[in-house]
Order: sequence, then structure tokens, then C-alpha cells
Amino acid sequence: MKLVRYLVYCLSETGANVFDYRGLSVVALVTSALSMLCVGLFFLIYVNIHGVVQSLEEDITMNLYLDENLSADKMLELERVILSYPEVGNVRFISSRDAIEAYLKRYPTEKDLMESFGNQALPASFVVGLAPTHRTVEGVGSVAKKIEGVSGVSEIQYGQEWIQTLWWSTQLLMLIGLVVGVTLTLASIAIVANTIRLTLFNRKHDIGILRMLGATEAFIRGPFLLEGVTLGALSGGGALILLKIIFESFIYRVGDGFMQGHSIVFLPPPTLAGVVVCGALLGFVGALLSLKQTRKVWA
Amino acid sequence: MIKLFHVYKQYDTKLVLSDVTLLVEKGDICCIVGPNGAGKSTLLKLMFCQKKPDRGQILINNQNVTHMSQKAISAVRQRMGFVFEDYRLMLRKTVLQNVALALTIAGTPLKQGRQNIDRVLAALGLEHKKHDIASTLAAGEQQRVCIARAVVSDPLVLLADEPTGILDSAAAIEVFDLLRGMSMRGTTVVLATQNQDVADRFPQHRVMLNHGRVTEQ
Ligand SMILES: Nc1ncnc2c1ncn2[C@@H]1O[C@H](COP(=O)(O)OP(=O)(O)O)[C@@H](O)[C@H]1O
Ligand SMILES: [Mg+2]
Repeated sequence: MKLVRYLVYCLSETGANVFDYRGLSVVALVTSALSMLCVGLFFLIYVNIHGVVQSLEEDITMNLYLDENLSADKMLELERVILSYPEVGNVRFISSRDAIEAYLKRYPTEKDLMESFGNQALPASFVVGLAPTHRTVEGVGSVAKKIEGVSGVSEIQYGQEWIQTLWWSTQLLMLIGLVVGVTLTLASIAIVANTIRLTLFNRKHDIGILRMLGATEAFIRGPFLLEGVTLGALSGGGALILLKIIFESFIYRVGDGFMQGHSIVFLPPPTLAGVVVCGALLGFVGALLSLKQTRKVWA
Repeated sequence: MIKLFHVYKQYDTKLVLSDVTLLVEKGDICCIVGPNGAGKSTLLKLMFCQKKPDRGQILINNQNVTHMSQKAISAVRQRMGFVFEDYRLMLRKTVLQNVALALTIAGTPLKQGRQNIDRVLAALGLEHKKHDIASTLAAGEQQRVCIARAVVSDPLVLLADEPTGILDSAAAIEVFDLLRGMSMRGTTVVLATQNQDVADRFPQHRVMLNHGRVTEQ
């Protein structure tokens, strides 16, 4: 009952504070919402590219092209070595003949050309599938490094270039997102802190009265902390609404053509809730900072 | 119950209170009377932990309040009412909000609180001003709101600094009746005034203060 009454008090005080500085509150709200929108955009792009990378990693395989005229014993030996690596799930042998057949099936018009090269037009190879736990760009890289030195293998192919580029771009994106995110978060905290500091000064006289009536520090702080949390959570929510609008009207349309086959997704619900909670937390920290600063002034 | 033992208070070089010893029993009404600048307000502020004495001890309900943390002071004040010389209302809030604030801080149960508000506002002739903004009130009305806020949570101790300073005699009599009623129900009341007519209404326990010294008790 006591708590309910106090909560009602906090709400009405917070309402009055925000109303008194409505212009400033709106500015704080909009700027922190835009900051959080930027972070959200990075996150959205990251989530989508990461999704593509993951689905590509799922069917990652390597082709090991073997030296010409490698004896059957050597081939068996090689297969055993490769299978002994923990990263490797399975190995399939493709003879030179199989390779040519497969090629001709795909490009039947090039039959003459193939025949002119003879039996050895295409080298024999192993198709190496990775163990489920190692189906990542890093996993395939480490296996490739191990096999590179083994004799009998002339070339390793795993379409590394573009998977790796994509992988690096997600890493880079995450880094940029982190830097931008931290910077903008700090800026938002400062903006919220500044807004609350002004309302605190606006209420200086009233706070003095509260102390005279026996209000504890915690009691006095409640409304200001609530103000920070409210501003933060609202800007988080606002950022998500803006993000959704941008997503529906722009990214979704442009991106779907570009991503060929991988449908673009919005942020998952737990992340959405996370953004609002982060906003609230950010506002709370901002309020706490301004309360710390001002405590010296009229303790 | 309030006890002061050999209390001294100095502002810069000016000695404002000198060797003040005082006992106010529970339920007693003590009237401190003295001319302007005698140190009455300072004395009440010491009892309210708003100022610290330079020497001496102050006990409120057997608790020594001379050296206390801010938190402990808050707890003591929640059981005290103070009628400020300058009212100290939240001017942008309504009469009701101002009075109810004391209940919120003291944590008085809601139902009892509502009854108290109605009773106190009626006793001070403020019922019809309940929803007025404090800044729109006349000074005399603001003073009564300050009194209402001080008494609404049924404090153990009530300190009143010139509570009828600008009230007409009819309103002043209402206030005196309210104070007597509170003391009857066990509240310890200390009243400071420079008005001899006011002091004459409380002959039971009168303390004369002159240049910071108790001259007659
Ligand atoms: N904060 C202060 N700083 C310096 N002097 C003060 C302060 N407050 C009061 N005084 C001085 O102390 C004396 C007593 O003041 P006060 O307690 O207000 O007297 P009263 O209430 O009896 O009129 C006065 O001379 C006043 O000028
Ligand atoms: Mg005075």
C-alpha cells in the first residue's frame, strides 16, 4: 500500500517534470531514439548477413585435387590421414573419370574439347565434408592449413574467397557497430543525464522541502530515476518503430533482390525486448549520473 | 518529549543561543516568547535538526539528535511536524497535494490519511481551497496550508514558528484550538512567537527568550 502510494507519487512527479521541460524531453527522446536507431540498423544488417554466412557454412565442403598418377595405395593412405582430423566429417573420392562425366553432364557441348585432353583432363579429387561442429569459415580454414603440407594434394578449393569476404564483412560490421554503438550510447546517456539535471535544478526548491518533511534520499530520487527509465525506454521503443518503418519501406524491398534466396528478416522478438530494456537501462544510468553530480550541490 | 541541555549556537561571531536548558514533557504545549532576533527560530531549527548546536545536547523522545546521519534525521522528521516561518509550500501544487505529501513521506495508511486530511482542512477552514494551486492562495491561507501539512500525519512532536503571524484573530483561534487538540492527544508542541497576546493564551508553560538566553521559565 505504501509502495503503491509512492509509485503514484513518482509517476505524477515524473509526469510534471517531463511536462515542465517538454521541449527538452522531446529533444532528448528524439536524439537518443536516433542513436539507438543507428545501433539497431547495424544490428539488423549484421543479423541478416550473419544468417547468410551461417547457411552457407552449413554446406561448406572442400575439394582436394590430387597429383596426377597418384597410386591407389597413396590415395587410401591420404584418405585415412584426412579422416583422422577431428574437423573432418566425411571424405568422398571422385575419380578422374567421374569428374569428366559430371562435367559433361553439365556442359554436354564441350564433349570434343574434353576428349582432346584424354583420360586425365580433370584430376581425381576428394570432397571433404566437415564435422558439424567445424562447419565454419574458421573450421574450413584450419583444415585447409593442415592439408596444405600433405604430399599428393595439388590444390585445395573451398570457395574461400567469397565466404571469407562475407565472414570478414560481418566481423567488420560488428566492430563498426560496436564502436558506433558505444559512442552513441554514451551520447544518449549524456543527453538524458543533462535533461534530468535541468529538471533537478528546476525542482531544487521542492527537493529542499522534501528533505524538511523527512523524505529520504531514495524517496527524493525515485521520480528522477523513473524519468530516466521512461525517457530511455520510450526512445528504445521509438527507435524500434523507426527501424521497422525503414525495414518495411526500404531494406526489405531492396535487400530481397540482392540476397538471392535468403529472405531478409527483422530483429527477433527477444532482441526487440532487449533494445527497450537497454534503453531503460541507459536512461537509468543517465539519471544516476545526474543525481551523483548534483548531490554535492545540496546534500 | 524534548530536552535541551546547555545548548549554545553561534553564527559567525554572533552568539545567538547561550546556555539554553529546556524540558518539554510529552503532550505539553510550550510557548517560547521573545522579541525579534531573540533566537526563537534558531532554537526550533536546532530541535528540527536543521542546524547543529555548537555545544550542548538535544533529545527528542529520548533520542539524542545532536549528532545524527542524514538518514536518521529523515526518520526523526517523519515523526515531527514543522510550521515554517516562510511556509515552504510547493507553489505549483494544489493544497491537497501539499498536505498529502507529508502522509506519503510518513507512510501513513491511505484510509487514515484521507480522514486526517479532511479533518485537518476542515479545522483550518480550507476545505473549499482543497484543489487550489498553492501559489494562488493568500498569504494567510498559505500559512494555514503549512500548518495542515505539519499536523496531518499526527506527529509526536509539533514545532510551530510564528504559526499565526499573519492570521486574523478568528483564524488564529482556530489554530490554537487545533494545537490544544493535538497536545490533548499526546503531541508535544513547541510554539514560538513574538506576540505577547499569543503567549498569554498558553500560560501553562511559557519560556521567555532574550538575546539568546532564557530569562524566565
Ligand atoms: N543563517 C544565519 N546566519 C547568520 N545569522 C543568523 C542566521 N539566522 C539567524 N541569524 C541571526 O540570529 C539571530 C536570531 O535569529 P532568529 O533565531 O531568527 O530570531 P527570532 O526568530 O527570535 O526572531 C538574529 O540576530 C539573526 O540575524
Ligand atoms: Mg523567527
